[in-house]
Amino acid sequence: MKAGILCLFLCWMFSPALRADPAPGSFEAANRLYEEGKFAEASASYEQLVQAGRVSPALYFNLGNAWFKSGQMGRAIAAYRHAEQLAPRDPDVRANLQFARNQVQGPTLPASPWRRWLGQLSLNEWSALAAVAFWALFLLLAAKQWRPALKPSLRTPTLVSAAAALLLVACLAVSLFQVRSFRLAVVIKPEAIVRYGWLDVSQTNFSVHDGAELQILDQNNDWFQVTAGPLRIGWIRRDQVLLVH
Amino acid sequence: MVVVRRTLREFRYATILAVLVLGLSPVGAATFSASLDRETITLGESATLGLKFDGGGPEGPPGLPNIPDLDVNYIGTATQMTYDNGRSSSAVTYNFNLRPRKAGDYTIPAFGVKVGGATLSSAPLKLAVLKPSAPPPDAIKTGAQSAFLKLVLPRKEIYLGDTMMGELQLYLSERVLNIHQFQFTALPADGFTLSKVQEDQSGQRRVQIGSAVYRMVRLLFTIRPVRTGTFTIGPVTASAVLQVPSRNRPRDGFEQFGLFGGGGEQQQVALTTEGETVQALPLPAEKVPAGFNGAVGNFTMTVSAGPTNVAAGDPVTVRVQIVGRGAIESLALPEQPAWRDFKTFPPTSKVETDPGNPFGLTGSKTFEQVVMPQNSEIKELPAFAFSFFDPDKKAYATLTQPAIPLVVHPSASAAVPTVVAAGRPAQEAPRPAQDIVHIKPRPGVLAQLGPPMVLQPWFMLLQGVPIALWAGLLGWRKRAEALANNPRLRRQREVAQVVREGLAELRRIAAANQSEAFFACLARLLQEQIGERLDLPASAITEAVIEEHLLRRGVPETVTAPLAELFQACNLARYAPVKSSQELAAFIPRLEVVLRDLQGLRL
Repeated sequence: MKAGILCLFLCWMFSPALRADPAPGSFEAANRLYEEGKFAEASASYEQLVQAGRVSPALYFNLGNAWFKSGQMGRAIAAYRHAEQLAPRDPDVRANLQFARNQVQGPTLPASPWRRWLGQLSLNEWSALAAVAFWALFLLLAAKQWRPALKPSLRTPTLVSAAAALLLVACLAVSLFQVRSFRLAVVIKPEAIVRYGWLDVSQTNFSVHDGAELQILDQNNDWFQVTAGPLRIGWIRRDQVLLVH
Repeated sequence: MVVVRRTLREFRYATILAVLVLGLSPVGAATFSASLDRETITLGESATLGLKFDGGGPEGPPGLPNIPDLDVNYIGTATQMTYDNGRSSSAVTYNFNLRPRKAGDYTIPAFGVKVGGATLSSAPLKLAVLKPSAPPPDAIKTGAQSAFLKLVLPRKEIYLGDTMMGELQLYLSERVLNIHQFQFTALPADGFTLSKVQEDQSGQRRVQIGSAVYRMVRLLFTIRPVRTGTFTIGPVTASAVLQVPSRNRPRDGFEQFGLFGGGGEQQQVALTTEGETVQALPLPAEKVPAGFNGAVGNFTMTVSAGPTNVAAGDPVTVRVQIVGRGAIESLALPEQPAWRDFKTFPPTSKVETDPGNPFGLTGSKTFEQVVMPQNSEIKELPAFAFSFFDPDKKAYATLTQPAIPLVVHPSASAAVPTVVAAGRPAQEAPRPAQDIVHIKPRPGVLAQLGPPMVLQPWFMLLQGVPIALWAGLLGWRKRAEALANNPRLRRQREVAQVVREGLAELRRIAAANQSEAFFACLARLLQEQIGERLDLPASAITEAVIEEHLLRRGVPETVTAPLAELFQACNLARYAPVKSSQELAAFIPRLEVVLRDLQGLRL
């Protein structure tokens, strides 16, 4: 009984999503619009739900689908990215995100392998894993103090948990650094010009198309300095992109 | 629009001028006559009709009667003024261009024009329009023909989609010094599209036909059928002005080279070719290759691709070069169904035509297409096929480039989504998804988005719990080890415990008024504390220890005196044990002071 309560408490603690109530009415209404082929109206309904502040991977996923069917590739990719942040291993989300990315023309930011690897887990999942390993390590250390006779038998588990804790805390740190420092924008215009400077009269560097993903390096008033990979750095107007995180 | 305005303006000026000129002249002297510049023309040529008014004229260009198959266009006014013995006279001529649509004899009937209230009439005119025809062979062979034109086509059949080169050969007799104002008056080619005619850059040739020698100029153009059927190209007609030696004087060396204006005379000629019948054939409907996309000609192909060692999703550039004869410009890459496992992008192309062929019928077209392998199972770029119809062999041909081996590594990115169907053979390559995965029917659990867990204070505090637990146990163990390794410290702690318990027992015994037991316990506590301080057995402690050990070690009398008093009280109680509870309880504070003083000693 106590173990069950503890389990529920831990679930509540590690997954804030479980603390919320569903709102099926509005969501189903938006789904109905989607099924009727009213994709623009459906996307507006999903957006209203998102703006209400209570979200889920399914909500972002359906929003991405509605944008995709409306021809808004950039907004669709942004919604799928949000869904991926909440449910990074959802096969449907990954499939649609990849499908949408395949439609994008022109330069876009290539995903680095380590970022993809870290993206297998959400930041909260990394936090939970690191916390579990950290707790296991110190509980084993405490057990060794409490019962010194157990030291020989706890040696290997302690070393393993120490290595795991070290690795997971490092992953958590890198993932946190990425979330805090890596800012991603998605182009939402059919074609946007990336210029050498932050003026409308600045020379064109390269063009990007709807759905292109760009890393934000800097900001100057209404302009973002973005990169789409090596040797592709320039300034783009803020109203031509949508920030993902 | 500008041209029309200018024409109207010129027409207005001409009319005003004509009215002014004619208005000065007495109306009674007005005359009217009509004339043609030529009475016989060839179909495709035009004649000029002049309506001349002397001494007065109409206010505007007179209207002509409608003549079937004859197009009439007003082209302008010519005014002539003369002075004779102080008297002026004027004449205005209205010129019209006549262009017949058919060969035959045309009659321009007499018609009246009102001039100053009187109606002036013209005489009827005849215009003979001849069918265009090539000059007779005899005239050519004997050199009687100054110039003639010949249409030469390489084939009498052409397939739809094919292009062939046509040739107009302009022959000029040796006596022709120069040729000016050469222009085509008719180039009929129903069922075909003809390109612009260009002079062959290889220059003129001398050609002997019969006994005559001609200079031949080749005029080239391309012919492309637009529909199937039998059609006639030509007769092609052209007009030109030839400069020939004057008949009045002998030809000199300067004329030979056209120097000093040549001195010859101008001769306008109409040039006509025979018509050539060409059959435009449809492409055979049998044995059409699967990938045929309309290419007609004769081609060769080379295909290359690179890089060939890539990760899934990385671009591979396929370069296809098609070289040969045909409509190079309009060639297109055919669909490659075997490339279904590749994401393909629209190809770019570059055309390089043979410099020796100004019409671009020979050359090469190079396509560059980016393809992306979608999974790491791909081992090769499947064979590339290009089909075309060869009009020379009158058959379809297919050029095939063998498959190009590829090494495709798994991509670190998410795999391309695939729809896995039940019962699919394991060896079948997965097909790329055709559409997105459908929406989810349930919203799942909706939650408020907040800062990540790792940044919330409670999470960090929670991580302090195992650290605190470990640290506490560590301290506890260190303390236990310290006690285990220090007997005096352990005795000190044990005695302190005994003292704490003994004091409590004393209070209980005092309350019970048990004098003997009280002093026995008091003496025991003193022994325990002094024995611990002096590191002696408690049973060995007597009052004599005060003098033997404490005083010798410099313990002040403020400590030893109350201690001695307590020992003495214990000794006296053995002989006079009766004491009240209050008297017994009064010993406890004194004992506590003594014990505290003993515990503070540094011996």
